[in-house]
Amino acid sequence: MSFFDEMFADSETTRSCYRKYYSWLNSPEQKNIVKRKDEAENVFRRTGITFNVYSEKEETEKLIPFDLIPRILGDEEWRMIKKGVEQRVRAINSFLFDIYHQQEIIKANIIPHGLINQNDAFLPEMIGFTPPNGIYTHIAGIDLVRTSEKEFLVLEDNVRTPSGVSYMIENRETMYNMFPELFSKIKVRSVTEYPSELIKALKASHPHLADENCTVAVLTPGIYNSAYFEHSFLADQMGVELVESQDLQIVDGKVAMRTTQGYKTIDVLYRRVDDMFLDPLSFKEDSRLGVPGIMDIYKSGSITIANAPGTGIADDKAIYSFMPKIIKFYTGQNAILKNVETWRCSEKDHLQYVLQNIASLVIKEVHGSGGYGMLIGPTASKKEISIFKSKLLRNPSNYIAQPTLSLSTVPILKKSGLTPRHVDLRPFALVSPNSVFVTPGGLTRVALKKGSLVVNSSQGGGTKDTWVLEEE
Amino acid sequence: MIEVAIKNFVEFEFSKPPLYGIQRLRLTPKENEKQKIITWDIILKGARKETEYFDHHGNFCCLLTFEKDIKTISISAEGVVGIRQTIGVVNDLSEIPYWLFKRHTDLAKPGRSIREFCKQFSDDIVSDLDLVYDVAKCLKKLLTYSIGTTKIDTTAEEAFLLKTGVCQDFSHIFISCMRELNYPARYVSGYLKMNDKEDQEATHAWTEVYVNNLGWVGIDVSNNIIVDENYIVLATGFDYKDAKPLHGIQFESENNSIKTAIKVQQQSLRVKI
Repeated sequence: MSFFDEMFADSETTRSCYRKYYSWLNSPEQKNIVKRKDEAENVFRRTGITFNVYSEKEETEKLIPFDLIPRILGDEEWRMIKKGVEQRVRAINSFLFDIYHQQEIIKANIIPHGLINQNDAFLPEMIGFTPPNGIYTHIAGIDLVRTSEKEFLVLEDNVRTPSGVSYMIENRETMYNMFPELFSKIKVRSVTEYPSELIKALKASHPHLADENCTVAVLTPGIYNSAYFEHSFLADQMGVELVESQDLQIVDGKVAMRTTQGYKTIDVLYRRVDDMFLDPLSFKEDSRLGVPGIMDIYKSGSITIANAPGTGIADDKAIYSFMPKIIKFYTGQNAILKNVETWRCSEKDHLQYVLQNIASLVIKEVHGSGGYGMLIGPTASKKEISIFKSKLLRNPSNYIAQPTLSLSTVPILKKSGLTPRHVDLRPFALVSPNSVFVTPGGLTRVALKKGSLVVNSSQGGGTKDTWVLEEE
Repeated sequence: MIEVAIKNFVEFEFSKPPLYGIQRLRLTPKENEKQKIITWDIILKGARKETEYFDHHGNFCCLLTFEKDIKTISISAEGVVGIRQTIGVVNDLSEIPYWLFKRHTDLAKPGRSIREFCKQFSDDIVSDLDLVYDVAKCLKKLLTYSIGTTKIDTTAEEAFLLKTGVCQDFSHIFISCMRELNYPARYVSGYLKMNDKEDQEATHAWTEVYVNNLGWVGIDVSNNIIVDENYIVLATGFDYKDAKPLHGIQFESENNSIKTAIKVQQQSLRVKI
């Protein structure tokens, strides 16, 4: 299998967006760049970016490896991605509004109601209710992979509580610190205003009217959550309070947080607690991570919850396969960013195909994430395949399958020099009442193992700084 | 139209007041073509109203929190409801699609025995309404009303295996069967006016099944099947969980007891001229 390399068109030619960088990298001053790898790690340790990996007995703090070679996108290719992400995020919001109101898309026979009916991410509590300003997904992360010069495909939508944006910012900070001269040589679009764009978007979604003085807070499940660092980082960068369940109560018909001066009303809550844990009066009764009664306050129109509860119905892997139709239905246009071909194992003929071609496919759990519980046919052993086959037969609707993609590569820096590794890209979109902001670039994840196609940090992936070049 | 006066009194007693207490009340009768509120009040002692809103089923909800350091908290929901005599069929304006009422819920999920029981009905060629009544009558014969045999979180399948329970269990069993037979069904909590007994200990529960071209048909498996003008609806839901008249949490409280006193009495008979 041959892969599209984003830096080198062939052994002699550097692709245009990498040219300036590559000549800098080959300059005599950078001869010892390999030795600076530890320096990057020290920057990270100082800032405290660590990451907990689930399903390890002791939750140890790990550093997500950072690779010094940036992933670079040209202005033109970025514009296409940006347009595609905007289109997708708008369509997802229209879909969510429709699915929680008139359900025209079901009446039009585009989506079978069984797909909604059997889906735990669909929250009946949201039916007939319109979130403040009609926004469901204030923050979205759209995972893209590249398969050729022109083709970026959407691998997954993340519209519940997408994470990773703190790495995007810290990666850039680290690069600024280590190679300040690079950024005067090459004009790279900034990503560090993300927190100020985030607070702007959150304030604009105030439940009553956009009020500059409204109070925003970030709700975290607590320090044991794998993304706790990011929660505290974003709260800090936005200059708002980071709160936990025990800090919040219902006071005078509002959600309020305990402060040294008594209780203070929260107008917009950026919550990083999953739906099921958000309100023990509405969802999981034994949840200690949420706020009892917050759904009542929400439905009375007195708080904005970002993202809205129930958005998970839009980023489910089974719904994903309908996304091109969803985009067409609500925008009237074809999807700018294509989907990866997907077989839904719940459908008999799809299952048949998957079982016959399992060795060339990637099989994923419909509700899985983080690269857990998946099978990569081409690299799986015979035993793994036969175990997975029986899993598929037992519960086919729990799985989807996709072809093994030839993900693009970008070189990473090894002691021996540059060596190609597979990457993906998660751009972040912020939805405000009248606009969609897409942060230029996003988070590039890179599979550090040779030949590996799994970029998830929980599976040994690393990250790279992602550059979008200014227009020439 | 008949007018029914209702008083639903609930009192919480604590030996040590809770640090924080919160309750969601569905204690305001649901208005529809069959019943209208003439007067209705919720009177709180030791608690304050935080907000009010209509939930996704169209139930009027009231959220309240307990005042600090108070050992006795009481809630009185009282007023007069006008009931039209109907054949027990209602329509309402909730935006929830009917097919969602076929989704099995934790409390009303059928197990092997309920599925087995339902098999005897699936092949009959009868009208929808006949089928609904057939299942209800069959269940009524099979089940014995008995307090103390089941708990608040007993599932339909568990109660069905015991062949006994209270109105909540009977409604869950019936909902479970109807959904298994592919009919939309929902849980109803409310009051039953009885001619010989004004004072009651608890709210009642029954079931509504959606029949095409007709509407929601009320069925009470615990009593005489037919839901008539003696039934006053408080709230409807997918199961008990989202039609509960009271639902709350107390933090760090001790020895709480809950006392309930309900009075349902007919006031007058209004004849339209």
